[in-house]
Amino acid sequence: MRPCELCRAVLPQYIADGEPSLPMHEALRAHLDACPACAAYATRLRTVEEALHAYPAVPAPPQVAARVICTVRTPARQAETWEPLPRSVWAPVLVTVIVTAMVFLSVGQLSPGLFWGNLEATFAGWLQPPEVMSGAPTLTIHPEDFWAVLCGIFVSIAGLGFCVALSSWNARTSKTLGQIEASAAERASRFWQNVRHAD
Amino acid sequence: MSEPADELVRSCQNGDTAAFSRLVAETQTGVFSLAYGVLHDHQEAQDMTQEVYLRVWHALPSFRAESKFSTWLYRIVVNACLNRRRSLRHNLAIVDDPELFERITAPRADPAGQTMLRERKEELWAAVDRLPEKYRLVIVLFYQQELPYGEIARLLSLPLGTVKAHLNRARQALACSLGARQEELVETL
Repeated sequence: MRPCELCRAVLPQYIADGEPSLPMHEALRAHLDACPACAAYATRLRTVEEALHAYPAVPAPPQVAARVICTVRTPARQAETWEPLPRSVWAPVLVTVIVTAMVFLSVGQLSPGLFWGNLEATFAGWLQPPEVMSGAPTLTIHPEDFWAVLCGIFVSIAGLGFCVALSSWNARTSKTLGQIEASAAERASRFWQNVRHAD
Repeated sequence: MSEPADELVRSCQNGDTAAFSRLVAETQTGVFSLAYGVLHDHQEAQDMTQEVYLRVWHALPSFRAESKFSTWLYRIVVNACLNRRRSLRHNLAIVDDPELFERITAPRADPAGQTMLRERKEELWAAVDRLPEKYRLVIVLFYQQELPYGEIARLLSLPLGTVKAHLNRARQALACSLGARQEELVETL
């Protein structure tokens, strides 16, 4: 590289950094003393540097701050929109409910009396018309009927609560649950790695 | 832009709108200048400044003070403006705001000997406006916002050497434009 090209390549940094008096710049200064073209170029760079240091900031229009503050002070209205539940929510819930129901029914069928006795007999008893008795009416509650009613009330309340919870589902909740899921997966992964290292 | 006090930032994080108003007043010139430096359109810069402050208001609770507030704020401004510029697909004019330009170049009462120097500076500032975006951005951050090389490098996710190279190329281009202008003047005379 010719001295002038070398000089012009390093001059901008040399001038911008305050023209430090390091030994490595001795040759550069000597070249500037000897070369009028490079000296003129250095003068132009100094003019540029001076102008850039005075480069004015553009003032923001006054209405900008006013609009920002006005928007910030306006309370955000809660969007009350009822949106259909996404498939990623209702499909697993539906499958869980069906599987749970099938398990309970099959267990009830295979081993009568384990939960609430013979389910068919219970339902058949309910469907029979009440007997009109001549004497004073007597109410007899069998244990299997009691447990069936109790389970029915429990399932109804749980289902109602579940539906109410799901009805407030929105994108924010979805995101939060996604984060919880990711966090749980990360923790499980760490736990598994620790177990492997322990082995 | 001076660094806002930590207490002011904390008040804003707690939802104090009066404190946020003060924060906007302290930082808006820097934010608007930077937005204008990237977008080169007065109206776009104004809209972007508003948008940036709304983003800042919503993002403030998540600001952990791991970096300086000004660096965090500038990163939001630069990212938002560059995204906006990409979406505009370079449809913006180079200099589109004559009113602003007149304001910058408005004559002031100063000695006659200073007039030529001021005109030369104004020519150089106009030349900065015509620089390619990557050079103009580092010029604005280094000279107007007075950020050090390292902070600009972090802000733009560029190597330190690249930031210095961009600055040097911009200085060389401006010096060349100044030289060409002087030659034109000599030829005219």
